[in-house]
Amino acid sequence: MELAPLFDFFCDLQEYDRKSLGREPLTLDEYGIVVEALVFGVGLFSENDLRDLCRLAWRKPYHDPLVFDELFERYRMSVRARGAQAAPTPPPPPPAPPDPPAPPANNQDGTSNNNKGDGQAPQNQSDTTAARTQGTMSVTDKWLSLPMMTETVSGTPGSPAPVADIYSPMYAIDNRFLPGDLTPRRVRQLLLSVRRRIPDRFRRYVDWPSTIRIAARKGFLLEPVWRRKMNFYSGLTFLVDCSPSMVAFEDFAKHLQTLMVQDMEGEGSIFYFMNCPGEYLYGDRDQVSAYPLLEWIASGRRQVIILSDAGAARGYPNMDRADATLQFLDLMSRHQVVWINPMPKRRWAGNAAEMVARKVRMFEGNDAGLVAAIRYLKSKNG
Amino acid sequence: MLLTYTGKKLETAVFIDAVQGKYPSELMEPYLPDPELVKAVNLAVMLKRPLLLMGEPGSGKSLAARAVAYELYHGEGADYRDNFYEWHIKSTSQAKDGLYEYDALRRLRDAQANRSEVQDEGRYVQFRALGKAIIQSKEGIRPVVLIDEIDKADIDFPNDLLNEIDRGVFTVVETGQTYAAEEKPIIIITSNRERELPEAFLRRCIYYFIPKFDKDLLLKILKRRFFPEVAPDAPIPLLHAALDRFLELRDEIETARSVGKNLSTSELIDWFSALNRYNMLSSEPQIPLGLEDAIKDVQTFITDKKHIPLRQILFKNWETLNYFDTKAKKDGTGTAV
Repeated sequence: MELAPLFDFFCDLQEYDRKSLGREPLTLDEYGIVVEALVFGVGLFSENDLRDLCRLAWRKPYHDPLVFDELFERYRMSVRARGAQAAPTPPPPPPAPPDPPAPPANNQDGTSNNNKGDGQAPQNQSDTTAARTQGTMSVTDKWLSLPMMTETVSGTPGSPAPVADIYSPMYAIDNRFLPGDLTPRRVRQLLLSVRRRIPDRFRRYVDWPSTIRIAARKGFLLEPVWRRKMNFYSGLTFLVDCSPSMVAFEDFAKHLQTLMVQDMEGEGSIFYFMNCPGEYLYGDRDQVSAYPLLEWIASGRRQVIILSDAGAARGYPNMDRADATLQFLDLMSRHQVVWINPMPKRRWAGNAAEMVARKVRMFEGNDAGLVAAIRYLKSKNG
Repeated sequence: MLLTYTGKKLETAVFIDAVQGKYPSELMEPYLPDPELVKAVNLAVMLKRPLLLMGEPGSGKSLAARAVAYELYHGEGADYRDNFYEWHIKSTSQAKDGLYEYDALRRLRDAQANRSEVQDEGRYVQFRALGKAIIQSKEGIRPVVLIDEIDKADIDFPNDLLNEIDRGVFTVVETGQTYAAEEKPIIIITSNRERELPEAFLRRCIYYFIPKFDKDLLLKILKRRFFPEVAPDAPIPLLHAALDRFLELRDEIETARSVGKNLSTSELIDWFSALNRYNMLSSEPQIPLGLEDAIKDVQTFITDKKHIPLRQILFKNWETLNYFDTKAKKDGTGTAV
């Protein structure tokens, strides 16, 4: 019996929260939920029962269910391996011809089936790792091998991902919206969450509860209590790349335009550029109304979200573009800037996007990326 | 006493009589939860944590709370509604709204009339869903509170409720009086995932996502609801045709993600209810005027599953309608209807 049951799994989850999602990790209070349930006898009947308990107590809406289940699977394997090591070593069996490796089968909820107590589990962690590296990359490996989402890309650029990656279902270019489960309403809610309440200079309203409280105390009503009305303000500015490489994400860009112009009128703005902001920013996609860039930069501190592939769509480095973008980012140093790159993260390596990601916080253009970008803007560091 | 939910008490429809001056009569439709949801409810009840339910609209999140209250508290001489409180969140809702309401205007009127009662501030406090549940909660009776669609409210709303949810305690600011639950009430919170909930709030909850129901469970739900008297294995052509078509459409919408919102269980129930009604009308000696085409369409559907009769009930946006119309034209089957 472990003194701290499931603690390795809990730590893995914490790491997943911190490194892959850029979030606050699970707390000891949450660890206590599972321990308390175990004390009540929940989750003790089978390994699947235990997994279900962990799912209910530790899985959050922002967790990827497949990653969660695979981390549990790793934990389950490591516990079995420890158990096998602790048991007395049986005499070595006579050599037998190795069976051809069976392809891993997945059950309905995405968990591996190699844990059904059939005694075929790898003997130790290194076996598991070796098996994993030989076969296809697991979901968890993909997540955990990526650099921190809130960190800039660093280290030696890896070889560019195969071109076929971009045609995976998640990133299939069909002009729909951003990858993942981002809906227009979800984007709206995320952007609205950046707003702050500031008092209006002119408009006031009567605070009735305070007025009545004073009237009740004094026994007469002399004058109402006036308060200043609060307004929302975000100061959020979108800079949207409308070059041909971004045509697949046009729906998203159009939605942003609607959002900034109609829903958040006066609270934010949107400008366009081609590849990299140059001498001018443009107020429309057709680049008719131009605004001098330097004038705009000097006009006040803003929170800026740049939506561009930063050259990642090309698949090879373009030094001119990278230099121009880095110069532009130097000019933007007094503003809070985050970059949303709709190309998958593994496509950033080896081209201008990687260099840009070293300079500015760059996030993938999916739900998790947009959430992380907004969190960064709202944080003190941002 | 440990309260346990089995999910088996509401397997058939139940009619609940009105209680004079208190509750209207009510027909409770059958509610068949999946076993994982039953586990989640029991875990939340046992650990005294709120249960956060998410899932597609129409997946039965809100019904779950009512079903739990019914199973735990309805019986001989006991009405579950005495221990069930609903709080439907609006975009303007504030945390205080679920606890109590302070009638300031009444107090102003009393102050103007120079009544002595004006100093008794407790007179002006009316408790609301969560407040009532906290006051009423005691050992063995933990009222069920449904906080419905929490994602509709302001961003700070869930955090404003932390203390009340965590400790089962709240204070009426105007009177300074504090109320504490003897035992925490059972709190079931639903969300449509339209807004991210704060991590501090999520940390306190048991979280369960209601998945799409599989064919067997959907078949069971429809049979219990529409054909309770028919033997469980008896084939019902319209039911099987409708369910197969519904599952095909659901898979297709999921694959073609640009189409929009996917179909939910509640839409299947509504759709099948209409299909069944029109099908029954076909055996009437006198077909109601103006419904001939629709009835014929439903009759055709039983044999030719390519059609989608009464599609307006299933598809709730233009993109979906357009998608299936275009596809039907391409396939050479005419319109989808």
